[in-house]
Amino acid sequence: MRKVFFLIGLLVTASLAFAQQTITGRVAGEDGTPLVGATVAAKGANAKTTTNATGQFTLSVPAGVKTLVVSYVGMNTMEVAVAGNNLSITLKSASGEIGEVVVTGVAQATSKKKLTFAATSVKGSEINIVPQLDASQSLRGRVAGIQISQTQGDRGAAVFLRGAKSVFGNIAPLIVVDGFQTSLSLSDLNPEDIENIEVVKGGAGAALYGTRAEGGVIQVITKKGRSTGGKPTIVADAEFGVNNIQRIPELTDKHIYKVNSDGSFLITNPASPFQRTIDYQTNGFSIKMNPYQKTFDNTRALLDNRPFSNYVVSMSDAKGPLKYYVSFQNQRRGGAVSIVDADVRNTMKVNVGYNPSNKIETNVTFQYINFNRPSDYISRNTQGTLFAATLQYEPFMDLTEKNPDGTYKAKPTGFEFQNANLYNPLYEWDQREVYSASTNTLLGGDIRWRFAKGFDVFASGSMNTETGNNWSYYPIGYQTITATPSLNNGNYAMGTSTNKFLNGNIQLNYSGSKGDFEYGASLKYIYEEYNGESFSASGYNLTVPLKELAVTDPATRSMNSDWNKTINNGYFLNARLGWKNKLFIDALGRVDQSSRFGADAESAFFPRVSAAYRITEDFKLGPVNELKFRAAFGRAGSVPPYNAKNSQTSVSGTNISLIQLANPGLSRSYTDEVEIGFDGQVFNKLNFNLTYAFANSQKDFIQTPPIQQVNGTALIWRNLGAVRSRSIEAELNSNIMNTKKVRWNTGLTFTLVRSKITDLGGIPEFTYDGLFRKAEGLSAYAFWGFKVLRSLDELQIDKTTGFVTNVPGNLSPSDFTLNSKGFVVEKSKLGTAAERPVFFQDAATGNTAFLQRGEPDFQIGLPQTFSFFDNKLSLFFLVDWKQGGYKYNSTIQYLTFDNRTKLFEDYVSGGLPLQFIQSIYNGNNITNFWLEKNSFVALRELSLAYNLAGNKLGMVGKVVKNARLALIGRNLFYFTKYTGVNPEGYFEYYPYPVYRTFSAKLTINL
Amino acid sequence: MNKIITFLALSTLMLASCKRDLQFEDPNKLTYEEYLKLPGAAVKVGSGAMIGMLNTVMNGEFGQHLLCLADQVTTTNRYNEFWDWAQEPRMAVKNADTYGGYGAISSYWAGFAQSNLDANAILLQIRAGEPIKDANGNDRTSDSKIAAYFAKGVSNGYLGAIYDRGIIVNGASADVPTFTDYPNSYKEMIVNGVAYMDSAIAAANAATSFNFDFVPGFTVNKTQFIAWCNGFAARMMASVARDNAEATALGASWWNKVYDYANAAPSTDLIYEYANESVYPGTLDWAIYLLGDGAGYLPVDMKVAHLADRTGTYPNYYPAAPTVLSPVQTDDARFNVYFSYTPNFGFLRADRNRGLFTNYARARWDNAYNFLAVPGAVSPFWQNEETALLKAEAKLMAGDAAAAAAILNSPSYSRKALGNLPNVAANAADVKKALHWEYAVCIDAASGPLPVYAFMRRNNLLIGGTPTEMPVPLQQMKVVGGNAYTFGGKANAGAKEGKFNEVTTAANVGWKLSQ
Repeated sequence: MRKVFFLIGLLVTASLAFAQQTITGRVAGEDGTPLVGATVAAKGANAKTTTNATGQFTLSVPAGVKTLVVSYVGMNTMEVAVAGNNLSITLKSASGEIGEVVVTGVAQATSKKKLTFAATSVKGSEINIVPQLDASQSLRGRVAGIQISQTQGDRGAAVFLRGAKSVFGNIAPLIVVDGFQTSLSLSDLNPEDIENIEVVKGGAGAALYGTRAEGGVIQVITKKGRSTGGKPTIVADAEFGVNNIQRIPELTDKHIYKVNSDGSFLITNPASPFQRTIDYQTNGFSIKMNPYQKTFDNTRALLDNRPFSNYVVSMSDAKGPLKYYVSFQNQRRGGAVSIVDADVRNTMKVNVGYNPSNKIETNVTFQYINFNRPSDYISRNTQGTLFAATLQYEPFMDLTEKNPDGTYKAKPTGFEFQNANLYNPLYEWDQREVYSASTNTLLGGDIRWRFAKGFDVFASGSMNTETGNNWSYYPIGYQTITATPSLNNGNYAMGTSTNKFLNGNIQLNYSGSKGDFEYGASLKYIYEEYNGESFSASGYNLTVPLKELAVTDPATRSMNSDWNKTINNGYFLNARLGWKNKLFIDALGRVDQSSRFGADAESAFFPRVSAAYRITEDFKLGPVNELKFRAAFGRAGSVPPYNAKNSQTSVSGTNISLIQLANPGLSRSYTDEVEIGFDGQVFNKLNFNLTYAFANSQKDFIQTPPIQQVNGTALIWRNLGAVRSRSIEAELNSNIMNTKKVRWNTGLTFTLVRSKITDLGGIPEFTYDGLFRKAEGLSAYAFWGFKVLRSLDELQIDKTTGFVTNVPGNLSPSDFTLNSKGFVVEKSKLGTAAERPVFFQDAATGNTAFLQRGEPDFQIGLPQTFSFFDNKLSLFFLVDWKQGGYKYNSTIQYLTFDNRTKLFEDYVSGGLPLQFIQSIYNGNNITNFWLEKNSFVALRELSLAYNLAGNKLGMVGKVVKNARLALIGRNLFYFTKYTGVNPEGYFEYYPYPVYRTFSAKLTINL
Repeated sequence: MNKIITFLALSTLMLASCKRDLQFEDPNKLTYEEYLKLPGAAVKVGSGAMIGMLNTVMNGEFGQHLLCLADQVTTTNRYNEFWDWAQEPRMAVKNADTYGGYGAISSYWAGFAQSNLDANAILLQIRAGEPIKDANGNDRTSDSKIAAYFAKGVSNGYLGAIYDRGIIVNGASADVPTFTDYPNSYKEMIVNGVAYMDSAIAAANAATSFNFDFVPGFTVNKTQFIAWCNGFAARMMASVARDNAEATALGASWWNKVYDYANAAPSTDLIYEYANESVYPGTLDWAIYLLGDGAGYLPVDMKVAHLADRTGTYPNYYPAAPTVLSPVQTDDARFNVYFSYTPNFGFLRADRNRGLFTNYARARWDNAYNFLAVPGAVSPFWQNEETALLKAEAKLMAGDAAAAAAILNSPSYSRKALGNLPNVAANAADVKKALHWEYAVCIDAASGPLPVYAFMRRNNLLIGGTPTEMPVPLQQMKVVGGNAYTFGGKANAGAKEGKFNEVTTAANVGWKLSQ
């Protein structure tokens, strides 16, 4: 008994000496979502714990502890006074960029403060002020170093990061969705499902993804379930609007033919009743242009105000270990063309998270995207583009003219006058039926198991399937301008494709700390499998009007099928070290293996070394409250096209021909990139990132031209060529004004990119796509072609003979002059029928020359958000400025050949002979005259929104938490001197016009 | 330390379980080597050589350019830069790989090179003692060898007929030394080609069995095949000269040889019936195509109507508006059968050059489909008229105008049989004039663009400034490290700037003077 008393006494003494208190509580985010794994530590004592799956914690602390320190990745660390039990702690998101968390390019989520390379995050709330039609345009003006150009109005935009990584230009970035490497593109995704987009532009971040990421990485993080107080959150969103065309080429309403007194065409020879006579002036070569007797706006008959609608409804909640997010979208894009049905996209998104304990987290995601796109056939029309037809038709013809039976006329009245090889698109799309649809599904899941202190294992897997179906049907009796046996008696063509992309990952992580050091390591294995299948078939001469191959003439049928498969393996080991929360070092090595290579080149290594130093931890820099310097080196690569390493043969039923030679030693191309930069914050409100990056891309894939007489015409893929690119990027954002009446958030992004081909591996210079010259010392976007001289200074003179050497004929400089339009012409021919522009001549290049560098000088984005009266009213706009750069305007070139442009009218009115204009038209050959500077300032997005709290809504407020009504404009206006349809991109030839949208959007939060 | 050991142990376990074999073969694609191991593959290589060669002889859309230079086709269409080649005055060939008409320069080079190499593969296999068998195991070595000789012969000969230089490649590519220019002259290329035609003829004569089934849609027996070989040999030998002086300088022995070949050439048409995956008779197909208003898409040049005219009033350059020419008055009964008149001008554009207009389109060889690439459509691989014309010209060049006239005046020849034309006088000038007309009216775009172009070239009939041969395509010159060059242009008319001292640009003495 004495022993018992002694023991009790000892315990009491001990408890008095080490008096403990037990504190319980719950940690959640601002939206009420429980934070799993948040660290709760006693300030000044060695006691800490982490929250469980429901955000709960229990912590025993010494009696004297009065404050807890609560921290969580991506949230501001918070000190909480110990005041009783059942604490309810709400952490706020880390404010400002420097406090954000990044999950892309890093093995584990990392605070931006600790990040050792450049990364940009764009919140869903920012991009959804004016949600784009798809996610491919959501990053415009918001990320430095990004280039987004939409060249066809019915298609997504092309997105590239930084400079050229290939002799052939930019490489598309890898798109990661919620950690799953998929074959989805940004244009597949509904912007309103997006929580956050992270952009990792450089080789250091991309090294984590090895051969998938030479073009950088964009990760889309979609919305997850959240709790807002016990009831599910339902957001319903309805948007209605109208699309219309911003730009149409400037056309003339005059023609070059003689007219009668009533303005009708003068016909002088009854034998040829449609033969018009050119109205030459008395000098015999200048033209008098006359107005058409009547005109129809055929372009507007096709391009009209078209409806747009978008409905999105989402529901989310988090209860206990379960959280979910579900959304549905129905979007009808009327586009800009009235003669085909609207493109319709339906999407569904389901995210379910289940955390059964504080050691296990699981997530399952499912995404479904169905896109029915009749416009697809508009922009890949086999008879030439629809816009080419409407713009080239002389306006005295009415394309809307109908036959007595109500169908459109294949040849409108007066067709024989112009007699051009142009179809009437109204007739075609009235008669022809098409279908084009794709369905994309993504099913993915992941699990994280914290199986021991400091250790966790993370496994994920996804299956992305894309199926495509299309068919086209011309009815029996279909009329064409010239007899076309493959269409006139009906034609049916169909195609299907299925692409499956499997992705599996398993990753082992360890993290810990000791003293001033924190450290971690991750090891990962990645498995990717890509399977593609396609089938297409067509036939004509239908026996009955059915959309079936069986009714086509067997002798006219053709079919193709393809199948391919690629397997990639990846392994990486990443080690991280931090010291005193101010110095961070990261090292990574990744080994990639791919079935696209022979045994000798199967594996490749991609390293990364990076470091960052938070200067302001050691030095006080006045208003600079945070400044971090970072430097990083990384390598990422690309795999060559499928089957590039083997020889290939063209096989038909009757013959075989070798079309590709084998190169079993073909290996990956890769880019080594060094970037240095600063991330910081000034005055506690201005966040900035400055980055300089230098990339050296090597071992590009080039199909080299053979010496045909010796090696035949079969090409061979080789690893040749090198490109260097440099970029300077700056991102600024700040809450400049923050009063109750007015808040102003401003942002600025600046991008300067230059690239240069430094090596072609000894092969001769060549021109790619008929547009860009591939030569050492030139940009990857160096326009090349024929050149009319516009300055006498361009004449090169042989000092011995005194003759001009770079134009035809043995002429002296004094034999040339500038004409009224600023062209170099032969003086003796000025003002005569023989006046012609002088073309550059050089036999060594076939009379072609470097014309201009296509890349812009710089780009600036300016997103601006104002809110007034305690955020009741908000105004947002985004200005996108591209300075410099060139685009080839083949639209105007071709229209001028058809005498349809204002430019033609201007030149003809100036008295120049018709063949002068035909000379500068120069066929459809690339010629410097048609290369235009495409600088622009674009008002991309504009939104004026009124927010209404539920308590102001009377009875409705019992159901509706809040509502928002917004007036929205997209792609509103370009300020540019570029004369084509669309100033974006490098080349245009009657593109589907990019349209603007005006809409009203109502968002209700239930 | 324990943690590190744990981490490494778990890592090793994880990675060891993940390794996958990546060395799987693509089941959907066979490499060239794998194909060659399949039964009957080598026979298909021979088919590829033959079809590739004939496709290049009948060069599709790019066959029009030489016809424009020969004034058989006129156009103001800039598709493939047709207009550049029809335009007057003539311009220098734009030898740039970005030029829209580059295919007119490069397509023959590539097509014949590939055919030659495919044929080499067959001959090398035979030389190595490996028999060539079809899918059923039948020995086709003899037939394949004959086809390979034929394909090689025509490929080499045509390269010489079209380009100023080339390289003779008779074996494996590894046998060819490094070079920075193409060393063989056009004449050497043709002589080499004719030698292979001799080999084909000899092999066919020696064959105990003969089955020429390499071109679906085209069947010839042994006799017809040998005649066909002789015809090509005659055509190629006749196509050496770049101007009349060079043709004359070849001498009687050369032209007698041409006669011998021509005399053994087909005396009846060799007709091809279009088949899928076989030859596309492109030159003719493009040339016959009619527009809705009755005009040709690539209509008949004024030259043909001008030569048909027996009144001496039909112009050689289309008059200014508002004139629309009436049908030509001709005494050749064939003209209005082979060609059709229309007052409409189709796609011709006055603002480009009304002088290039015409009122004629092609009717011969056209069909209900307006298309020669449909099953059942027929076109000639060889016309009996060309046999007669080659014979007559060879006689003329050998100094026997009377014999030449006799051939043309033969009642069986189309000039008399179908044209109902009076006899040609037995003098060189009249025979040459008659030959010019016969090529224009009978040969035209059939059998590819070479025959008419080469005939006009060797007889100084091309308009001044017309290139008399093609330069090596720019890209192919650069790929060996050589310098680019070009020919043609009014300013260079009569230039003798060839590497082998040949005339490279026609002098201004052609069928009409240059504009």
